[in-house]
Amino acid sequence: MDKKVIFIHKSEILAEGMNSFLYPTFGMSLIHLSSTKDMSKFIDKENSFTLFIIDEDYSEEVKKFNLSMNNNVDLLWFTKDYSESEDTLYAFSSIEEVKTRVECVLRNHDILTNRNSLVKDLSDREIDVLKLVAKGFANREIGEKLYISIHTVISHRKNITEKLGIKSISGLTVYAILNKLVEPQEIS
Amino acid sequence: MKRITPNDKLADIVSENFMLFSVLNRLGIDMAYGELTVREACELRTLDINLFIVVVNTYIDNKYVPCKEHMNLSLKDLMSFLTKSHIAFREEFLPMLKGLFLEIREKDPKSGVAMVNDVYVKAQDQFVKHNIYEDEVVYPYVMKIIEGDNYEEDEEINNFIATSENSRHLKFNEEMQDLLYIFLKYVRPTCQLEMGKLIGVLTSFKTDLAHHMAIEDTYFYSQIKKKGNG
Repeated sequence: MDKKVIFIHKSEILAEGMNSFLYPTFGMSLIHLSSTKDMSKFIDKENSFTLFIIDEDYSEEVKKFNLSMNNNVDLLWFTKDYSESEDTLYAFSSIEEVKTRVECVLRNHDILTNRNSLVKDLSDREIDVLKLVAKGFANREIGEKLYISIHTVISHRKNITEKLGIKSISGLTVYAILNKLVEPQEIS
Repeated sequence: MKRITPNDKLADIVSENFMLFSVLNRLGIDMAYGELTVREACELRTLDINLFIVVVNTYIDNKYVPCKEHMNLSLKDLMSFLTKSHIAFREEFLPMLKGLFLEIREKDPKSGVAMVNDVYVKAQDQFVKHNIYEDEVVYPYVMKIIEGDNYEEDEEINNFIATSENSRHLKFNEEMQDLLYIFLKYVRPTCQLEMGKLIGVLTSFKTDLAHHMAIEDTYFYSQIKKKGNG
């Protein structure tokens, strides 16, 4: 399936910056639009997934497109103020955090469109987080050890749970032991 | 799904839903049912028939919603049922699981099951502790509130009740589900027979616990809320 990111924002520099790591990380080409005028061209494409990252200033204009009704489209609001909401991308996030947020959207989309895929491999970072969860560290401690924010830790944990279908800490610990990510004697 | 009614025979309902064998036991009805119907058995044991109907139907049908006339339950009988369920969890399911874990560990010390035993034991200890606290402290406290007896407000118990299903048995039920899922997906033991038994007990326990939680929340803890609104 073809995947692309449409970044709607007045700033070309921001678009360049986003493209510089989205393409190498996710293999998704980024198309920059400076207004919402042409965005309808990228909706309702068959066999194509489009992630819109749109400046929150355009929120009123975007409403008419009813993006939430379309399974081949997802949306992140590019915001100047930090928000816990899953459909936002904070303008001052670290690259790692942006990657995590985008990855989360892609994963949700995979789940929506491909319910048969049960097992998905964990990324290196998710494995780092899983090891520390199994060893009994709290989110804050994991963040400190890996030099990432607590929000990123939470996002990684959410991804791990979604990929493995395992919710409890005991379950994640058992999984980590069985896959030799940690030794049983390392568990506190 | 066919509902169980007061005129059904005990032998019939248990033969069709074996899970109810243990449930009837917890309701104080032992085997050698003879030709007894639900109504007759309840009269004989002076057991609230509405409670019987609600409990057995919840166990056989996840989507069961009782009719209004069955909503008025004897809380004393309900508390007794919930307490006996806890005893069954502690004295039947957990020892069975422990025995099977040990058996597999002995026969196949390198299997994943042997490696995860310690993690499981820790989760089980938490569950037992939680269970006993509910029997000895929370249930009697709730009964006093519902029956309008004198009681002293206890913040710790109030918080426990307020967290509802989010943290009571749900955590352990989730752990059971995860364990089951992990065994099915990742463990390849040499002793298949024992592993099959372990998965069977885990599944029955998990299902029983889920029904128990549903009954506890819908008919027991909800009474406090009704009392508050009334």
